[in-house]
Amino acid sequence: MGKPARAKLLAYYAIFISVLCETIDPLIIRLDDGWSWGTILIRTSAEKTKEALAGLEKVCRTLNPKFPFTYQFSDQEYSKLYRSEQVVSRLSNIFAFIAIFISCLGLFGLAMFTAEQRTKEIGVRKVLGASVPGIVSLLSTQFLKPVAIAMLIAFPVAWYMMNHWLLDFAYRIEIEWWIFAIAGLLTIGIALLTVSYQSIKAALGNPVRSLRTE
Amino acid sequence: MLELKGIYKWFNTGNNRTFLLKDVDLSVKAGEFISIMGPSGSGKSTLLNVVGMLDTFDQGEYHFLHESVHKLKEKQRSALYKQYIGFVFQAYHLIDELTVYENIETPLIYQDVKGSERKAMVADMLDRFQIVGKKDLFPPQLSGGQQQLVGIARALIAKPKLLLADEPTGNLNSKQGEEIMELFKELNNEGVTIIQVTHSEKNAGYGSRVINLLDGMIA
Repeated sequence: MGKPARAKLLAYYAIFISVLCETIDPLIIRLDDGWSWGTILIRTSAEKTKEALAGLEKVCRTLNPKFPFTYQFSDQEYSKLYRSEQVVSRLSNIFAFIAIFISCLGLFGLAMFTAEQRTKEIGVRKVLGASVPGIVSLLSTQFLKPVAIAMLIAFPVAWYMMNHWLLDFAYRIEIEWWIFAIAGLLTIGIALLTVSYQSIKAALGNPVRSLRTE
Repeated sequence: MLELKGIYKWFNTGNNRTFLLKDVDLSVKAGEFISIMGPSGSGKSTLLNVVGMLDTFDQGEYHFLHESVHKLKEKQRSALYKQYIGFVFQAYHLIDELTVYENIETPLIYQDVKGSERKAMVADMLDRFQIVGKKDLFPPQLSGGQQQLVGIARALIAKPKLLLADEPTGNLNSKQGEEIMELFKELNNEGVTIIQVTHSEKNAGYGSRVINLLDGMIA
């Protein structure tokens, strides 16, 4: 390889990429006649990638026809570094969805059972003057207790595990209290949504029907 | 106090219309003690439920105090009956998970009576029916007669103008039944208007007027 050609290639821009798991260490880019080249980093303008690649291949051929011309794009290489994190994130999304769905099914069943079991009580309360919203909240709030207990257990465990995982990264976010607040509110919201259908149905029922003795 | 005019209630099965109540006229003055009698399926309970606003009707007019019930929305109706009407059921319909005290207190909670006031009112009621010693027991721990006493105490706690009773002695033995009827008579003498559904001529005898129902019509 002649000096002018190499210099021409190097005239482009070289960057150093580090995984976020490592700190960015001091960097040396060297230009040395005696150094045997393996890879060079080249910055091209985005719209002209095709032309740039064709040009580079031509340069490579003229310099040494027997040398294979291979290339990778730096953004693809970069994303490869996080492939395992991306897979873990997708998997945990899928499993979280399945877990939430199954627990909602359970909660729905439980709400149905309780509403059925308390039909008489609901009828009596309506006759005594309970309003529909009053009965809905009476039936729904009892399901918030297990949800609250679940949160009490889940939050410390989640905090510990997330903290542990984050320690692998040199550059990381802090786990803030509001993350847990949002998670908690979402949990309560989903639970109430699941339960409220049964509660409203039970509360709207005609008390005469549920109090019939015959 | 209340007046029903041309009340019809029906349900449709295919092309047939079955009448539960047919052209019922009824007017009740304050202070009356009325017994509704009739064979099973004659519409006694339905009539009582209509009077108590727990059930709707399909045609006719219903005036209660100064309100036209047939024109009211569900919410207003419920506000009206919880203020003026007390219910006593054959099967007591106490809430098994609550103590005697809490059962009697429940209507007051739904009428937004203050805590200290509730306490005094419930204490009065327990005293009056001599069930102070039972206030922390749960309904299943009581005899039928005692449960019905609690049921009546609960119906009276909010000082209703009208007491509706659907076979109040139906599940009781004759002695307990007699006590309950004596109590009704006493309440009536104190000015509570009472409408009861009953099968027994003897119980009807406690009342001032008997209404006979047959096939949804007043005979």
